[in-house]
Amino acid sequence: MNNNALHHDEEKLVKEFLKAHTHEPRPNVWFTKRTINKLPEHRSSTCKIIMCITTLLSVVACGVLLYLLPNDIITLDENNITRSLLSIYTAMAGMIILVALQVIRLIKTYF
Amino acid sequence: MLFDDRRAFATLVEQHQPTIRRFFLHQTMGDEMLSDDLAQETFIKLYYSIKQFKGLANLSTYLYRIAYNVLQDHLRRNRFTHTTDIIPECVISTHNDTHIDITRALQQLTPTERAAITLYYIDDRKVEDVASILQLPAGTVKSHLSRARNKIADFLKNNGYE
Repeated sequence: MNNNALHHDEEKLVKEFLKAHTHEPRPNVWFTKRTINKLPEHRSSTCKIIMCITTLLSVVACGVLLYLLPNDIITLDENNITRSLLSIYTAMAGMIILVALQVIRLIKTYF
Repeated sequence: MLFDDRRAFATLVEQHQPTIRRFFLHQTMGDEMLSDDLAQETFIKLYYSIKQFKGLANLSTYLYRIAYNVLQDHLRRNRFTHTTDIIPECVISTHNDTHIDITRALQQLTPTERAAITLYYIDDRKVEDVASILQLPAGTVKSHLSRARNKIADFLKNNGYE
């Protein structure tokens, strides 16, 4: 019993000594704000569904454009070919960028 | 608590950040920048894993367990570059001799012993909690504590403390 009491007192002393002489972190008012800023962007499930559908539609539209439009160019007048080609390629580049952005967002969200 | 609610999560971070930062401060020999980085990593991991928290343990025990895992990962990542022989300049310039001696005494311990001592003596956790955080049997924690206590006592005696 005495041994236990002695041990208990000793423990208490060690606790008090360590608590008194270990250093405390300095207050950091920005800690919480910085942690919250590092959290992932929050997206609702509706937002995720819309994102998936948009990506799918973009991929399909891009595929259709790539398949159909080069054939249409042949039927155009010779004078209009350059202008049409430019607008088609701009549209296609836009589509590709859109798809790439959506894919990057999806990867960031799920992986 | 809705964890999609960032304001609620911010309150939780605000409530627990002093203890978690202090825990890391003792494990990193007073390196405040590193402690803050590790503490931030801990809270971000908590945010991702909060859905797995079933409320069987205390939230702070769960948080400490994540913190200990973050620390283990950090030690593993830096096992070839990390040195615990150096006490950061900021500790030497802002604290008195006893503080530095305690930091040096903590340096004598293994990471597990240091974590056990910090949790039990400084953060006032029970042996069962420490065992749950370190994922060790209570008996093993008791032996770590006893060994660590002896090492600290020897170090302090050798450095002129009674």
